[in-house]
Amino acid sequence: MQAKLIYIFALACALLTLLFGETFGQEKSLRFLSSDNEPIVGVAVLLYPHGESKAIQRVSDLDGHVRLGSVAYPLTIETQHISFDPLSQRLDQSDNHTLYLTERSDLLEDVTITSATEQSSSLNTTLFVVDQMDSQSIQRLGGNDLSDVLNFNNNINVMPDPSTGRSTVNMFGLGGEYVKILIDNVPMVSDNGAGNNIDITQINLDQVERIEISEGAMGVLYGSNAVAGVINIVTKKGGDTRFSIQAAIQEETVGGEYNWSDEGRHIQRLTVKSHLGSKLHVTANANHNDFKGFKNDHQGVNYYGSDGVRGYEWNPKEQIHLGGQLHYSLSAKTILTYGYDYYHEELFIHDTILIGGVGIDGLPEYKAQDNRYVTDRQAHRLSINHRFDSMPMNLFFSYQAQSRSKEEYVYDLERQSKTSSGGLNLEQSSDYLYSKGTLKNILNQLSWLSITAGYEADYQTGYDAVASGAYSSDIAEQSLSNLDAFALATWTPTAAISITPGLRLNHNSAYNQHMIWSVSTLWRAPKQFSAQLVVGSAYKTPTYTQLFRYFVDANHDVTGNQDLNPEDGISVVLNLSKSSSLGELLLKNEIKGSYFDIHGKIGMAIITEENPDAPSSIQRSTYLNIDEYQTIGISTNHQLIYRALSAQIGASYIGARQFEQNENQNEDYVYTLSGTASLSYLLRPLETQFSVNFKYNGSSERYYQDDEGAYKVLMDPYSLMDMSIQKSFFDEAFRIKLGARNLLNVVQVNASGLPSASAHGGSSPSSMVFAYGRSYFINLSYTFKK
Amino acid sequence: MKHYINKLTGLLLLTIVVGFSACDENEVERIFEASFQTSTVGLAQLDETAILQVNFSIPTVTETTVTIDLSENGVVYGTDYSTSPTATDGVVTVTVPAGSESASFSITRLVEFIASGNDLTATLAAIDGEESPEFVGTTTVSVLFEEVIAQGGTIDLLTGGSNMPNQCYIDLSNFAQTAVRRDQWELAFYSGAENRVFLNAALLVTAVEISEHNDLAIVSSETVFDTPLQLSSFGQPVTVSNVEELLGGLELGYSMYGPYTDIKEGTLEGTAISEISATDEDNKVYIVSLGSEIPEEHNLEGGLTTTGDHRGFYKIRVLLDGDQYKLQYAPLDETNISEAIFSKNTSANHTYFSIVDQKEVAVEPSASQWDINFSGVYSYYGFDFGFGAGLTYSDYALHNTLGGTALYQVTTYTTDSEGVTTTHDVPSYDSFSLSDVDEASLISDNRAIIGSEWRDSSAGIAKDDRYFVIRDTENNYFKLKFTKLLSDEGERGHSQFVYELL
Repeated sequence: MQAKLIYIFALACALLTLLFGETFGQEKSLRFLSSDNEPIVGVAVLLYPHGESKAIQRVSDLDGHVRLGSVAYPLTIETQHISFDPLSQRLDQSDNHTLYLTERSDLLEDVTITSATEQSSSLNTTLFVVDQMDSQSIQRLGGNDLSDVLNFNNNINVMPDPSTGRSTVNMFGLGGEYVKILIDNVPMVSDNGAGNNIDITQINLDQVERIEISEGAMGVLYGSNAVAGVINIVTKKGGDTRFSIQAAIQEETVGGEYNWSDEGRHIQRLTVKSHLGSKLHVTANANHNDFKGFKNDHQGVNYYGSDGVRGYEWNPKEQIHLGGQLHYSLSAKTILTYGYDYYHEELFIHDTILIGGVGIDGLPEYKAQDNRYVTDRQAHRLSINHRFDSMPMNLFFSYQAQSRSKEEYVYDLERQSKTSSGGLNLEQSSDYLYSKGTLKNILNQLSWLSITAGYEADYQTGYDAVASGAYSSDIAEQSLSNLDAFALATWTPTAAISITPGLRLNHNSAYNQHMIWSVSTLWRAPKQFSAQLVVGSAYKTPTYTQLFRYFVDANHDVTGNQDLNPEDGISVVLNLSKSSSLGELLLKNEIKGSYFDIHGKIGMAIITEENPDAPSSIQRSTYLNIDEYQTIGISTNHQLIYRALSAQIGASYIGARQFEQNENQNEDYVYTLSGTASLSYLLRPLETQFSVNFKYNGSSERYYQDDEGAYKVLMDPYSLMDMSIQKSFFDEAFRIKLGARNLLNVVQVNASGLPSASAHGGSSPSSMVFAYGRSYFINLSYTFKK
Repeated sequence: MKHYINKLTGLLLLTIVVGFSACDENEVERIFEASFQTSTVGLAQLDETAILQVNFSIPTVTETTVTIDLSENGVVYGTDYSTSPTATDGVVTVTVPAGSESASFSITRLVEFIASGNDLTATLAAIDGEESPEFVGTTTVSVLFEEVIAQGGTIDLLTGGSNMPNQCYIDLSNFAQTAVRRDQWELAFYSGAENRVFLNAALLVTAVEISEHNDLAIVSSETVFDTPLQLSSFGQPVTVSNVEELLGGLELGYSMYGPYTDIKEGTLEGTAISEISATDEDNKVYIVSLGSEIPEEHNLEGGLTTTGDHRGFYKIRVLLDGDQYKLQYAPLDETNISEAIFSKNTSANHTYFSIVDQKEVAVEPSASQWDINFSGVYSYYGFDFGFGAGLTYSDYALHNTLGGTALYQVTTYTTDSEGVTTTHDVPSYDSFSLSDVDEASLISDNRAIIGSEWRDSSAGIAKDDRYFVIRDTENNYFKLKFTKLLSDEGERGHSQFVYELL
């Protein structure tokens, strides 16, 4: 029944998409394009109609359009854009004007996603289906880290783990290990590896220009583990003011919990930007995010009871982030960008029960075994952009290191102090060296063919003392290196069609050679209709746990398998998009279909061969490349902009199934419906912006893994809704933002199929904690500019 | 307005500065406390010695000297009593090295007669070495020259960690704990009237009768039975036609073929080895699985490492030689038979024998000198799964049913599977007094009443829903409750209980 409704909905959306093209398009507008015919988003335009002294402000939309409405001609326009030279022009008569802007020569890399010439830090929209979230949207959500903002995307779920404080991304039902996270196109380091399975609460959004989300296997450009998709975080670069300081504080309630000392979330930010001379631009920023934990039914650190409610539902975490960026224009053709990040995190996990016991004085003792996890990360990123004639070259070099250490200590509740400590011990660490280079537009004398070639090389060492499990003190260590060469050829038989086959030859030190391929086809039909088909492949490397797990005792025998092969993924993504305009009303409709197949997905399997070291009656299991995982999905997205109002609505319907490869089983797809909607309105006279975001997550099946094995968990539906109001004062120097997160007050989501708390009895939990209830935030910021 | 902005900006910057300079609360605070272990000791007889122990809350980090003042009431140092180390001007100083958890000295009674009412008081006077020591709990001990029944106290069990190397025998009336390694012995020969042999359940020792044979020399792993045995494993029938096959189901485990252990309750009738007969031919050959080694490794993550490699198979035959037991034994495939003869030990419940070391060993204190045996590991053949299986438990406590200790459990509340808690109409541990003792409830025919249900191993705690009422071998009544399962560092095998004389 539900499935049927979805198909009807999808069909209706498809029809709408096609119809709008015919009916709209009457209104006069300006369109801003770059020199290679790509629309430019975010051009600020001042319109001076004839006879009026006051200018009208407009900003170009996703397709580069600016609605003119009814204005008196001749009309003078002035443009401003961070990456393009300003343009001042007089338009004599009412018509649709297309205006070409010239890229700023001194700020080559300050490109937005749609100006395709220099994509050193962006994803390529010709090759991939890219969704983006700009800094405005991030601001409206009061987003401090990546986990705050990604929930409102159709095919993405943020999967939090309240006990460890980590959150990972789930895309198309595939976990964080299948999603590659990049900062300015460079993979991010994690606790024990790089690129995938990133804790997205550790990604600060202060200096983020926008977030690009691309769905599909993209191994050709991004290498291993870019199976479900890629999330690229594009940082702000350069700036137009000589000197600026921005200081902000954000105070948040955590559910209903807030006070100045030990509840709520307290964030402070500071950013300084300055030009030093004409060629050098420097940015420095600091962010302190002090999350005091979410108690919910728990009673905090100093609770004495024996009823298991000491501590927190979500454990407290404190994060400090320092960043710096140098941006140096060596010449008109060469730009160097160097970025540095330092991140420090302290996570406190408080045991929910006390140790118990009686002290030497015969009185009861109130002590608990608590843990402190300390994470440190530093990242250096250097990029060099150079242009040989019309051939842009990008070179990236990066060194990143991250480590996570654990301190087990005894906390005395009576004295409220730490009375003994096992010291800080390294649990996980990772070092990552990375380089990538691309040369674009090779053979540029041929107008119908453009070739991009490049290399990617990395070397990572991972150390993990916990992957093997509590029953082993073995340390899992691995070094992996990749040396890859890739090439893409864009063939444009006509101006409207481009076909780009791509190939990557990958040499992985542990998993031998792989050939990764993709074909992207883009058809830009008349009337702003476009169709894009991306077929690609990528592989995912096994996790440390899958390789090195050791859980053997009197009743269990589960071991990792060091002979595992990577999982092979193939995806097909088809995106149909249609933009339309009717007067000041702008519409963009998109339908996307996707198919993923993961071959040789790693699963737990029983082995029959006897273990000579273990009692014979115990069942042995290990990890093998035995499963096939497939998803099929359709999603729609509709955007509407009318003057200061913008609205979006979308839905996605994804089916997933998993079965054992050699069993010819007709497993049915299990479908999950999700929907998103957002609304934002700028009340210009009051400089006040209102916005609402909504996400519906339908009931879904997820895989849940713990020490005892993997479980299929059926989750109930739940919805998330955020709302905010922003107002600026004194020429935008002061800004105040009030918001509410999780208005529908979700904390736990009912789930069935979860394993019981202990293997030897105890009832199974019937819910998973997903959020911390309705929370409010206030953000005050002050910007000083010179 | 400008003024207002400046103020607000100032406030904003101040908040940021304060926020970034959040103070560090990660320092370890060392809290060193000291207390006497008991408040009263008794020296009833000439030459009797008592140990006075000062416990520390945490191990010392430096060489530490403890000073104890002695205050005499009608007794004279050197004449009536002496101390070790010796006292100077009524002051005893004990120096312990870094890493010590206690300091102790002994007092010995030197004369037969001391007038009633004369006694001695030891007072904790000073601790040098440790920074800022605190005196807590019991800071003085009365040394009485008469019989004293311990008032109770805290017993930190000396089980020895997650591999549980030791069994602990506790004498409540003397506040005494004796720890012995559980791999010292395999067989225990009963001292009472009946002729019974017990197996070491703490070491997973099992025994199976070879009913077709009473000649030890001809039984080996190659012995084939005249009549195949119909046994069962996991509740399913198994046919066993020779010793080789039988060994596959003799070791203690879920799949074992039959009740090759003493019964859980520990009664005389329930031993795996039948009562020893005066008629030699009736005493059959038994094959004994010597159980599992105690592993060296500890598990510091709250898990256990109690069962190591298998200790091998022996064949035994027990006979009577008048009032004495005669044990014949050899490794299963050995033809040279060893023999040991021993008389019944009148003071203890059993005489203990190590097959591996080929000798009698001292294990338990005399029968009236212990009440609780905190066995640590305990195994038996039971039907907990609905079918017969060999089960191994940890943190297991037994009481001295053969020596005359009786006890019962008081359950204060129960929580059902739905999480609904029912509180029972019984006194709390603290309010339980002698008048609350229900003699009829005292159990003396089942040693496994305490068992291991007192703890919640997944939560890592001692349950607070129960306590035990005990009548010891001297008819003193006590109440006892477990207070701790794990060490502060989270390791198993560091349990604790408290008890009080009623």
